[in-house]
Amino acid sequence: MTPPPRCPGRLRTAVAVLRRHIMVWRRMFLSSAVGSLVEPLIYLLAFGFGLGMLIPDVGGRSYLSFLAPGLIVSSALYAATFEGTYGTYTRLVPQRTFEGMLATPVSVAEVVIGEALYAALKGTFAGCAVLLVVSAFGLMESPAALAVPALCALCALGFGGVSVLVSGLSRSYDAFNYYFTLGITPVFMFSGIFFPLDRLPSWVRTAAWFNPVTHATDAMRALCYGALNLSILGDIAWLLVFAILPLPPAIRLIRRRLMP
Amino acid sequence: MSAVIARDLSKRFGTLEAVRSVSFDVHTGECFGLLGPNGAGKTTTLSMIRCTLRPSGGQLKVLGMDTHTRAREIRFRLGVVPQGDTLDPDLSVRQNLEVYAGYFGLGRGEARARGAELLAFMALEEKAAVRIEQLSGGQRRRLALARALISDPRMLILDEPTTGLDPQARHHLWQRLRTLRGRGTTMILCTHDMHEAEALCDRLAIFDHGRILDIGSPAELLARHAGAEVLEIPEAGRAERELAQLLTSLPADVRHERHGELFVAFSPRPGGFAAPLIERLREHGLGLSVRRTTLEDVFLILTGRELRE
Ligand SMILES: Nc1ncnc2c1ncn2[C@@H]1O[C@H](COP(=O)(O)OP(=O)(O)OP(=O)(O)O)[C@@H](O)[C@H]1O
Ligand SMILES: [Mg+2]
Repeated sequence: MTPPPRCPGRLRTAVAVLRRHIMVWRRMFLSSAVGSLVEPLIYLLAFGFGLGMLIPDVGGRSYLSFLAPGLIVSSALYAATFEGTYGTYTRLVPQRTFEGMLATPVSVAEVVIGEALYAALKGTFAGCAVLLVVSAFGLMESPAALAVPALCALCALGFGGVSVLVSGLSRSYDAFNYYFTLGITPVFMFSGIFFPLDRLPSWVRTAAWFNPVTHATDAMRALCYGALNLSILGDIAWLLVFAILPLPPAIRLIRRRLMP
Repeated sequence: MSAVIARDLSKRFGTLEAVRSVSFDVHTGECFGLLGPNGAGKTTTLSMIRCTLRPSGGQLKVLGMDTHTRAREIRFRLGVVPQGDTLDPDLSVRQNLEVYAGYFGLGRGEARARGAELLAFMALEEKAAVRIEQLSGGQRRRLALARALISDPRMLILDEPTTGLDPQARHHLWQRLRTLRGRGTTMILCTHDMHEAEALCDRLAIFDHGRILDIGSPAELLARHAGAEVLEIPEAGRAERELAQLLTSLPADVRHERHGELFVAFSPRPGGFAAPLIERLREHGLGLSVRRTTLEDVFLILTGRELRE
């Protein structure tokens, strides 16, 4: 007689959920890869070369080289955010994918962590695509740039988690308009990606300190330029907190949705 | 041993009491049916059993485990065909089975083998590579059952598994369910199809407004509520005088009801409606019928004939 099978642990079921997402992603990999490469190229050409011609050097380097690390961050953040909003909501509501999962040992915690990790994975992939493009332009100055994927993952996990949380609150796709215009666009704009923050009024700088994208961009510049110092540790600590913090409330919200 | 023990089980959604203090047992190895009008609380009860809804009150044990504390283990032992469709539209038919096997902790090789076996069991081999949106309704339900079986569950929860199927597909599915019951799988089946309930269920609970009105085997329910034979006269208004005569001559143990034009009478014994009387009514051109009672009669007697919202 075979021994009775044991209920799989949470780690095992979380991995199974993530594997499901990757299986789906593989099908649309090409379109997703082309998008991740072409979009940053357009930004780089438009902002870097176009705008760069009007702008003198920023802090002793060309505008293109000032901009490149921020483009890696923004790519990661947007890819993770799209997956955690439109992607997650589609699986939560119209497709009832999560309901299907809950007829198995998978519980809501693994569903949500699986979503956040998938968003993080997509963000990391998008960030790495930009890394490739900017490297091809010779904009990476240091071997420390090898750590860029890890930083992308951290930043994307945070934004993935927040997006899944927002999906848990949303009653329709329209709600994401608010999140993008009132949440994502401001943190993207006032993060030091496009212009240095140090000449802005002090209250703006204070507000920017609470912006995760500021820390991600600062840390990304440090890696890309090889300008490593202690402040990068502060940025990474900040991002670590940001990556973990949204998950418990996201789990609570999605649980309330799925198991009223 | 009982597979499910529910005592004073309740579920509130805000102010709505969807399930009101129901108690029942499901015996190991039996097929237990839940019948009841729309909104009676059947799906809500199933959801509490399969640990996707938390009871608002009462006790609930499934396979000897408390649903509060051991939800994951319970879900590991159950196979679920939910009401409506929760198949994964991003995956193919085969992937639906294999990914699901992964959720139960099955390894890749085992998942593939189980998947192939169940595709054959459900006659879906030709559709293995197809996406869900290209399946017909019946094929979807078959896949839903195949998916529910991937972990070789001890108990199946079936919420209207054959709704919308053609007779062939329905009989195919019933045959599969009988095979499973023959192997000792416990089943809880929720259905609006009285044939299905008679064909598959050992015992039934009839729900209405969140309560259980009665529980018993189909034969017990028939005997308790409907008797052996029923006389129906759909257009009784056309022969009121003859009908009044009929009423005086009916045996004392025959119960009768009037619903507008419809007249119904139930006899606890076969042959309760004497032939001469019936013939006289027939001569008046009434389209009447005398037939064996069915679960549908029990259902209508217990839950009434009014339409639900
Ligand atoms: N998630 C929910 N939130 C609020 N009310 C709910 C929820 N789920 C069910 N209800 C309500 O609870 C009641 C019972 O619903 P349930 O789905 O259990 O009925 P049912 O017996 O399965 O009906 P049907 O035969 O139509 O499937 C209904 O009035 C329904 O509107
Ligand atoms: Mg239902």
